Amino acid sequence: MKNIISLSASKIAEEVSSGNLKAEEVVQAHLERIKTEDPKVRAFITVLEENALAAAREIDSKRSHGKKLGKLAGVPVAVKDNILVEGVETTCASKILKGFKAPYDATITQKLKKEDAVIIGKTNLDEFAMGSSNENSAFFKTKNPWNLETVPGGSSGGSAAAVAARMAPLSLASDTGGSIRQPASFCGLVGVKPTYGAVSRYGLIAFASSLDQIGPMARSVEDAALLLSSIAGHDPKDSTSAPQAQNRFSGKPLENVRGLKIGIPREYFAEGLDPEVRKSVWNAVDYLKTLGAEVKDVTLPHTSYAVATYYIIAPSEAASNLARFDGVRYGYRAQNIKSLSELYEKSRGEGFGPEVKRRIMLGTYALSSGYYDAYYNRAQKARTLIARDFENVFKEVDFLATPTAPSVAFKFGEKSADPVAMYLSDIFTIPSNLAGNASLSIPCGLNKDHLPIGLQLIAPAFEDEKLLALAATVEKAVNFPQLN
Amino acid sequence: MEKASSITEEDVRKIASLAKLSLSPDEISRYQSQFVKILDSIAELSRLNVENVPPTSSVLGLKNAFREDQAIPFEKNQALIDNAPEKDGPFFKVPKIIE
Repeated sequence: MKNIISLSASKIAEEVSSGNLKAEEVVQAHLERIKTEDPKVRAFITVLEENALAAAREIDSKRSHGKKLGKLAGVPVAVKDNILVEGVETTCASKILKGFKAPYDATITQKLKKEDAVIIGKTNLDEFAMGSSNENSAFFKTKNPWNLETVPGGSSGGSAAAVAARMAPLSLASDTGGSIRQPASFCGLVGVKPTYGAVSRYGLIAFASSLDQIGPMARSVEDAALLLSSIAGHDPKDSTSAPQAQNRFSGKPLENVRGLKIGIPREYFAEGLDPEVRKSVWNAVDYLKTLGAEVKDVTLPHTSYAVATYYIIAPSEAASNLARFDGVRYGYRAQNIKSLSELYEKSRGEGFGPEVKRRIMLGTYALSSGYYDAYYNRAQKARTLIARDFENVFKEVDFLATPTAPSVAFKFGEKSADPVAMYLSDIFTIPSNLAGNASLSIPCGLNKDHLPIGLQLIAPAFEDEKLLALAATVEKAVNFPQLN
Repeated sequence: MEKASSITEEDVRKIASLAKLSLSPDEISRYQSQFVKILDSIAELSRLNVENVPPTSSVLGLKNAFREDQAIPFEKNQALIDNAPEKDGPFFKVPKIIE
């Protein structure tokens, strides 16, 4: 029990519930870890030391009064800084929201508190979740704990780095085009993008509403399932949340793999894929084959249109969602203003960073008069074709297995000068957001430089439970090392 | 789809104005060249045959999500006002815009 920071979330919850561990000790151990590791890794924008200790003491006192504790008893959770926690600064890693204190809790924040989790801090991200490397944070760059010279991925780089460096056993993140799965892949974690609508987004600062989904990051499938069980379910406050959303996920391996059909979409193994990534992904697939799974070559013919479709739809929705940042009610306001128009233009021009402005303009252009049909409307139709590809392929197979990203974690600065190169790092994760199905990344090996490689597994919508079970099966075989 | 390379700095200025973003001359020239590249990279969509394909806006196929129109008291007004860059009592303060 000495090494608290290496315990799984499930174990912590069990020990705190039974009284073998105090929530306060658990939180204290993680705060100490943050003090030694975070100056190097820089995962957190805000560390909630006092709040977390107070919450932990309250949990301990609840238990000593004989009350039954929740599913996440005493488990520290790091929360991406685009999710509201009442009274706590929520910045989206943007200058425009610096100092903004959330006036209420997101639904998932309330759920965490109800399950006796302890929110330990708010994690760094690419500004407004727009990016794939964390280099777009307006404040600082989070580093990959596996190699501090490489990016942690993005946009949920802080949430990934916090869990990989054992500063928290669990984190919450959001995924619009791969923002959970790609950093999970780069940091050797399990990262789940649940089915669209499975988790309430009330209190998530919106980026692209038809694509955004909240999900867990963890060091094991069981822990990811535990967190997902705590946050999933329909929420009347989110009109896009699904009435059929489940909230019970065991994260236990499949009892029987025999006869299971796994599709290998050939478009995901095309040119440009890092050979070590290819090999590692195939090793995991071959293992499932030895267990009796049937592996099938399949095709998703519209895959090559996914990135273009995404880079029309996501910026268009972002342009609308981010119109609310106008310098009037919250956030940054420019000084020495002479007109209303100038108030908007200068506050936004000075408050938003380069990538956010780029996407707002791209979206504004795609939606503007004369271009709407050529861009936005056409992209929505392409989206239908991409979603149909998945529908068709899931008539033939139960799951798809692919690489999560075309490469391992890249170096700082390697892609930041070229937006198009950066956009392509989400090439394998974007299609699942467009189609709304369930997908996750699970570590499947290390490359020769000791950097993690991620396997992406994709299931039809609302098959999250089976997807986690398949991931747990792979996890047993891979025996992925923990980072020291 | 129009040929993307025809995007000029003047176009970028117009888009920025529609998006209510003030940009420096440097930013305008940088965005102009990046836009050409980005729009070229998404131009492949124009080659896709989308005839008779309906657009997808919701993958869940949800239509209107109705609920009872009930007023729920919100008691954290002060927390909202406290976030304002400028305030006056219970009001958001903005620069004078009408002479």
